[in-house]
Amino acid sequence: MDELKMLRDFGDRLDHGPEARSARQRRRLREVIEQEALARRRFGRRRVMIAGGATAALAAGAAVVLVMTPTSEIGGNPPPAQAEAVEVLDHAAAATPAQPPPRGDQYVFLETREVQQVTSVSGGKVTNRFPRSHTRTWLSVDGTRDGLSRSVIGRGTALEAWTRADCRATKPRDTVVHDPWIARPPSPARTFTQDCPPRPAYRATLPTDPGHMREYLYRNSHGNNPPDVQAFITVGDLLRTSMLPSKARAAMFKAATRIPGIAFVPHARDAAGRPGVAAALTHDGIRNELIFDPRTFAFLGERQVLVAPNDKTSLGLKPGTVLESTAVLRTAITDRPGQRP
Amino acid sequence: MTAESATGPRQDSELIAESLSRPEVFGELFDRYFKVLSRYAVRRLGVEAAEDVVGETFLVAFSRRQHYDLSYDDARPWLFGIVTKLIARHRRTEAARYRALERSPAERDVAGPADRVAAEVTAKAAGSLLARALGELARRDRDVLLLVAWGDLTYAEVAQALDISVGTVGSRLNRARRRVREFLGDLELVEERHG
Repeated sequence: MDELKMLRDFGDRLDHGPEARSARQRRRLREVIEQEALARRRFGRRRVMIAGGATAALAAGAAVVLVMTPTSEIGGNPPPAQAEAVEVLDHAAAATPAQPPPRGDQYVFLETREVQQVTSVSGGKVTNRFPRSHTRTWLSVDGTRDGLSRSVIGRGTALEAWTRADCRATKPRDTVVHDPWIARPPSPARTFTQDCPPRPAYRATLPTDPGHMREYLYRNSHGNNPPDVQAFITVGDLLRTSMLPSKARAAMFKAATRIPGIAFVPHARDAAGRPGVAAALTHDGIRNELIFDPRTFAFLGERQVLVAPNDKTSLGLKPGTVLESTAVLRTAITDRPGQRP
Repeated sequence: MTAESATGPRQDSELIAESLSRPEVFGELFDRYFKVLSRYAVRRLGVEAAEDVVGETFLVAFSRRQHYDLSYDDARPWLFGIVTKLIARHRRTEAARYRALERSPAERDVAGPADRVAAEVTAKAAGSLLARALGELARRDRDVLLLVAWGDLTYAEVAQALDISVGTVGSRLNRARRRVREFLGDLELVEERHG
């Protein structure tokens, strides 16, 4: 008698019953994957990295600093900026209210909404999803204290992350996922220490002159896009992740008017659905928009729209699709992280 | 970013490595292994509990993927290890499962020629005794036995899955088989009566 064979035959007979269904379990996994993809994007997109975030911990190696030269100085003939786009940015510069500077021990509070584009591939089938999130972030004014970010993602999954001012990232503390499906917390991960200077969230030292601000934008833009596009994207990054003194903010909008190729978009919407007008710069089939209130020219948010076929089209995304968008709902100063203004 | 290979499906280890920077790629692992893990889990726990346990397996695997040893191309032992550990938390469900199988293991129509009836009776009796044997085994011995018999893992794969030595796999398997043989000893009486 071979008991192993008998066990195998027994097992085969047990297979004749109902089979396990995968759809619900596949959905559970997808939600967890999206949460992580969102956390990564928040902390380390091609845009700004908040020091100490989950992706900062995962990226090995030193950051490479590139000095960007504006395209118009390299050569070639970029299209002239559209007059209406310049006008929008000029109005935005005039609209910035003056505020007293905060104390170093206070916190910049940012409330934002985001819609991301997440592509998943399974069994050769491509699925595109657009998870939404609502985030409140507190960042140290002078960059010497830990910050806090709280998001609600998708169908109500809460994500809380601490950004360490000294740039050490410890995964369990950085991402605590409150989700009934995960039986136990993520296992303790390695601790990374990175050299990094404190990052003040209140940018007291930014240039207040448009010419110098333009140089600053080009010098401090990092990413895979051409310099003009990257500088344009940096404007949105700064508005979404920090607070600028009003003169620097105005200088920034003025500097943006001098980015070649900016165009006017009469009907745009931010991630909160607020309608606005936009100044935009298109590259590789993607139009990057900075969106403003059509009456007050207050900055509303950003949007990326697919406007022409590119490698995204191979993912089943059609021109006209809004890929990602943000909305800055509120910026303020608070005394403590977690405190509502 | 890794370019897609034109020479066929990628190794599990490649998928896991890429999922460290592109998490969405991990879904491919679910599509590869949900069915095979389910077959094993359903046998041990019944279909309802098994669905959640297999789903949980992928969540745990995803959250631990940065610890996966990328020198193993095949993720099956890793995944079977996780699902086995999760099954261990469902002790009572598994015990109830074997008790239920003891009473009526995979009922089938037994009308037919005498020798087929005899074979069916033997199969039913064997199933009942096997179910009882499985319920009586020590958990660690049962895990090894079923990873081999129902998971189709090799000794080395079981060792990797449970993080034990191959020698320990052998000794637990031997002990489990001995116990099962003891239970099946009664079967010969049944065969004599109907054979």
